Amino acid sequence: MTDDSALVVADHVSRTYGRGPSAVVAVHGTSCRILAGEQIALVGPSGSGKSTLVHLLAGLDTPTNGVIRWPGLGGLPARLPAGSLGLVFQGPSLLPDLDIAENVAFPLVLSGHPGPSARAAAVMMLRELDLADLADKVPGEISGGQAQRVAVARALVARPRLILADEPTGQLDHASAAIVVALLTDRAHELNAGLLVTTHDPWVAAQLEIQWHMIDGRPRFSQAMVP
Amino acid sequence: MSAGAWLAGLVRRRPGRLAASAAGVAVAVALLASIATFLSGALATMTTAATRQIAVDLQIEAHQGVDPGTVLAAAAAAPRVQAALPVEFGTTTGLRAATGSTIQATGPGVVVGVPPGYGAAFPGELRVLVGDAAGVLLAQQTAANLHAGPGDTVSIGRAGLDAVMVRVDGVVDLPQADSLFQAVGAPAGAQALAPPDNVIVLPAPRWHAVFDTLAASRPDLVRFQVHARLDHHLPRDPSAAFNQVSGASRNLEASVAGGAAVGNNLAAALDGARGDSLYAQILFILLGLPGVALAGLLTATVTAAASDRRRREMALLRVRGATVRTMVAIAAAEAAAVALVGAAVGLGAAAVVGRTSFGSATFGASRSSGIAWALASALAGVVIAAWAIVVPAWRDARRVTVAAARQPLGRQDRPRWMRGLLDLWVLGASGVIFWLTSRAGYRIVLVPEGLPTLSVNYWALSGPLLFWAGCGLLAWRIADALFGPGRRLVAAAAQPVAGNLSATIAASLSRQRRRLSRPVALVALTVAFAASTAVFNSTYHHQAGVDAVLSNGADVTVSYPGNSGPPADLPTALAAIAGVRHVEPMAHRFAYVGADLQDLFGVRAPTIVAGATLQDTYFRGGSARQLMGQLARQPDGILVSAETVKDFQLSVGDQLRLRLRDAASGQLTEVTFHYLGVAKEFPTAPRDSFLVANADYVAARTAAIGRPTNNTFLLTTGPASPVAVADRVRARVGTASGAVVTDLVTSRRQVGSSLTAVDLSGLTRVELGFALLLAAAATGLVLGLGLHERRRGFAIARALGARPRQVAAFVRVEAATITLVGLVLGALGGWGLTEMLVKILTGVFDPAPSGLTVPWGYLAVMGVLAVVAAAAAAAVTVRATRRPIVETIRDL
Repeated sequence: MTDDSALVVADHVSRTYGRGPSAVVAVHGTSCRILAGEQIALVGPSGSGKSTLVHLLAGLDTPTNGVIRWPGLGGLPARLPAGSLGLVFQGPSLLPDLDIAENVAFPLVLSGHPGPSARAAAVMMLRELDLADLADKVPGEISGGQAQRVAVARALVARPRLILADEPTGQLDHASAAIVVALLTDRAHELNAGLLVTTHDPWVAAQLEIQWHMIDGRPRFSQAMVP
Repeated sequence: MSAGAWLAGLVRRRPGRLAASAAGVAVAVALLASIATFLSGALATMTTAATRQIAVDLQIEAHQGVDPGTVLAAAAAAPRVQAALPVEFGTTTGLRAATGSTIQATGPGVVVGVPPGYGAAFPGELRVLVGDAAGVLLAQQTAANLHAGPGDTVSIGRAGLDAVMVRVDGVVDLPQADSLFQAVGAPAGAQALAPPDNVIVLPAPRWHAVFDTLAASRPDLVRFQVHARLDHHLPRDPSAAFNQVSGASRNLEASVAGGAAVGNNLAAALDGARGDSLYAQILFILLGLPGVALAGLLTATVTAAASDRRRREMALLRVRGATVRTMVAIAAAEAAAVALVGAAVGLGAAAVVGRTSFGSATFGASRSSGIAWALASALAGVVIAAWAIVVPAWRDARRVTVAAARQPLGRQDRPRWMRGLLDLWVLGASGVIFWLTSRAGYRIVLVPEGLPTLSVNYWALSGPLLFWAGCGLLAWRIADALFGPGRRLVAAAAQPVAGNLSATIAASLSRQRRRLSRPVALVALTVAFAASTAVFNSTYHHQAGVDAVLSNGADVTVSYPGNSGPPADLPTALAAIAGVRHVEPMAHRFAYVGADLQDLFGVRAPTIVAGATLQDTYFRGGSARQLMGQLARQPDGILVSAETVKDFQLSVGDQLRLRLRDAASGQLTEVTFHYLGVAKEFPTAPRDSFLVANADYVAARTAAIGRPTNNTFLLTTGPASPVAVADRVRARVGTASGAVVTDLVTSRRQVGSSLTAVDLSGLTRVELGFALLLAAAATGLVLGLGLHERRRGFAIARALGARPRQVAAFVRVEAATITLVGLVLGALGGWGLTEMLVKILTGVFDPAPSGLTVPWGYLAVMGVLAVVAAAAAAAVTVRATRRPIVETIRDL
């Protein structure tokens, strides 16, 4: 397996916030890659740089040093095919002015799907997550746990090839967390997508094939690590 | 946490929010203080203008049998009297003059005796045209009638006595003949006397030599007056000045114990000015207060744009144990800082505006009133800041739980006012008030002639103010309906910009409609305010011009009063003068309608409409062109005033027999006309009653064919300056001809109400400038802040894969919808509001306008400015969405 077949490749990537003595190194000289079908748990304590690494891998942030590439997704983040990357954020991330179905359909609409078919697909996805009752509600009317499950639905609806989930179960009880993790892993498996989930929860980490341990901005790879 | 620490944090972390709120307060304070500056200046101008135009302040006429010396002594000793001189009036049976081989004679006239120094004491009363001011002076019209000038001899006829010969030393103009020959002591409302046609002024000793004998035998033919000049250091407010001058007059009447009547010319002038001063104050209320209210709404909207974040901040404070009192104190500290900065900036801006627009940086007529206005303006800023910042914080602190505050908002119910149809109730109330107060005979300002009390129907002012507020609320409702049930329409309109995102964007706007409807209402209110102010001002200035044209007749008017006629070649000579584009001749004569003597204007019907720029509002029963067309087709047709129609119960087609003086016999002869329609106004005509007929028909029926009957010439100057053309005309016709040459520019300054005379252009500039500022702020600032608060949503959209153009589509559709809907609804509201204002303030207009004068240029600038401001806000937001996504999400 070469880098060219990887979905995303990080090559000696660092991310430093601030300058001078007060500078904080969130990610330190990291090299990694995610292949199609890989399911990875990125675990580590708070402040270890998990979210920063996810943001860098998602193209939401720019590394201070090193290079990120998405050879398996088509190139640069700004030119990634819409819907090829599914993202779940750590905090509330639903668009407050759209109803739940519209939120879930949003990546499809952005990628050019007509509104009605995008909504139908979104409702179907919500049904799979047992969230169909929420379709017409707005984010302000649902709980934090429900919002997180909706965010997962939104990340999956466009059938992405790479799924990056930042603490998707952080606000969920165990039962809900189990549903979300199962959904992510099952759907990633079904799509042969790469999956990276950050978590503190050992149970959640154990549900994934590979664990990366993030310590002081550096991941330690416990299995299948390919630098 | 202390309020000071919170405030310091705000200054460091949210300087934009504080600055925007302070800017809103500054606009309100600056507008209020600027208008106060204008108002104080305008009132002072009115008083000054009213006092300046008076030549003799008081004319104290001794009753028959009262010693004139006693009256003179009392007048001279009266408080505020600076000069008092005796003036005598004697009635002559007629004047005769032999010049060359001809003898000219006049009818009865008046001989005025003035003491030495009169001209110096009352310089405006006698204007010497030629000759020696200290000698015998012929009035200009009399000199023309007698064909006499300096050096000629005139005989003064005396009832029952021999005529007396005097040698003329000069010719004099009597600019204020109306007041000079007034019936002193006539009851209020009595018809004014026309000044005599023939007047000769004698030095007092000569007058006594001529009339003392007559006075002994016919005391009814002589009158004794004392002319007095008062101290003109009067209060700047015309009402206060009127009361002071009236008091001085009554004091004088009391001191002569009923032995004399006082004609108070100064009070009469101030009487008109005080009514106009009230109109100025009403303009302040109608044009100024909405601006201040808008600035307040703007501040509140700016503050509300960050309300969600503020609520979350307050929730954090509550978690840390802050009480309601603490949170209100924190908000009060923020409001105080905003008010302090806003008031300081606003007062400074008002001082600059005042100096540049009105020539004064003070906010009141006096030092104390200036301080009072400054404090009042600053207080308005404090109230606005408290209303915009403290009240919402207090409400949130009492009602919002920590958990609720930290949650994003769900669906919001329709506001209570919308459910209760408050907008329709307000508009209905406005309509009822308007109907009640605009019925026939209504006047918003009631100035009982001569009485110190004035009344303003402030109730009537609530009509347009309620209409404006109702329009704002209705715009809110319409926007709410458009964004909600009408979202398909928005989606269809957004399709070209947003493509397949249009439905999603429309859905997003639909969920935000409670938030978006507010700026729409604000834009609509601002546009309505700006448009109505601009249209009202334009209409006002246009009508002031029409008023001046009506009074003066044309750009330049040449008239030959009395019997003096122009040379036959005058029209040709006038047309040849540089700058004269058209000469329209008229024959001004007098005719008896029954026992009433009325002005009769003989016109050239086919050319008078264009030549005298006649407006349709001058007539009733047809347009100017229609009625003049009828007059051209029917030679004996005649247009009469509404008063005459009523008095004589005329119907169209009725025969009207007038008596006119026959040119050949000099006797009155009966001429038959047929009533065609009503003329309400006519160039150079008096306001009450007059007649308009065909000049040729009148000339034919009064044996005047071949005689120079046209004695008034209306000159159109086109682009040339009326003042310059008038000077050239004067030089051409010469002063000795008796011709009176007047121009529009000078007339505009002198005639009409003093409100018209007050230069409103400064107020207009300030009002319209503020309106533009508010329009730009209401669109750009409010929109920009609203979009700014939603950066997180846009960042998430980008994180989910939205291209920059797709995020920009969200921003642009929102900006365009708010701006366009606000502009359209505001324009409709502004049109209705202006119609209402013009009707309510009909007393300001003289004559009433036939339609609104729309300043398209200004309105276009306002529209473009609003669109540019919105586009700029959208562009800034779009640029901000290109920041690194994580930074934006983390910061928020």
